Amino acid sequence: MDRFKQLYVWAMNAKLFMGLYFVMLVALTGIVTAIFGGNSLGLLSLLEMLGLSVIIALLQVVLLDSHTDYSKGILFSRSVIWVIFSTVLIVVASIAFKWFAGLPAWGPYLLAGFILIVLPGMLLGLKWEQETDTVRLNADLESFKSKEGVQ
Amino acid sequence: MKIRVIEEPGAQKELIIRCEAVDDQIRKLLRLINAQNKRIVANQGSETRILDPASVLYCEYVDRGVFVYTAQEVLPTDAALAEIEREFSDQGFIRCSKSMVVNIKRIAALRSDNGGRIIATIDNGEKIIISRHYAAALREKLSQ
Repeated sequence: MDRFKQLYVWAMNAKLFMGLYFVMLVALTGIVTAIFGGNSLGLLSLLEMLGLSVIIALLQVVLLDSHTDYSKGILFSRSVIWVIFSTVLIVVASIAFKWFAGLPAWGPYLLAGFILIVLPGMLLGLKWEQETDTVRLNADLESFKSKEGVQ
Repeated sequence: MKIRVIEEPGAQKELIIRCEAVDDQIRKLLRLINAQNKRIVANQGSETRILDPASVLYCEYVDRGVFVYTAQEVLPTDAALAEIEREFSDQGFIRCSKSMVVNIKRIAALRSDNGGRIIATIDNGEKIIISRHYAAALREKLSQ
């Protein structure tokens, strides 16, 4: 049962990121499509983006979740591998699944440019969240100690 | 076991247990007495040590035994981890994993970690990871 709970929590964490990346992929693909004059995304493309979001989120959970210390910066071997691998996956998927069919050929590369900004941005968000939480935790610890009369 | 209480005007309270060797019965008695005085009973070879909870960094269950860690030494204890957690929670002891109870007063710093975990640096420089499940209880205790 404990194993099941662990797996469930792990999958839940992955699903939260998956949701974020799905929204990111739909929004960025939509923006690139709109820049080139398009006005719609196919239902099949959305399903493909959902599948890709699962892979990116699982990669993040595997590569970064239990090993990550963002206090010294967001770019280190594992995070760089995750950002580059995810970007390559998105570019390959957008070409293979023809997300920008009928639009200029450099659509996938413009999308890759956006992704290369957004994914490190995501890590930066995690870093700031950790830093803010750390400050709050240590303030609470000091307050607890002073209430208990610890020097 | 013979119990003798001597009343003397102006005498300081003192409890002496005279026995051939410290056995389980004596240990149990010590634990009962120390529940009042809130001390942790640990063993060092044939000696029984009474520890001030403030000197304890953390207690850990390792290889079917519970060990008490202070800044200088590691001592086995007969007390169960759950018992230590229960008896000393009002003195800042809190469960930080299935196999560890930490003394919050001996935590030097905390760092938020991914996935809701917390990394605690103990006074002696050791780092312990507090899982999300137990981190929630720590956060609650700190904000009380």
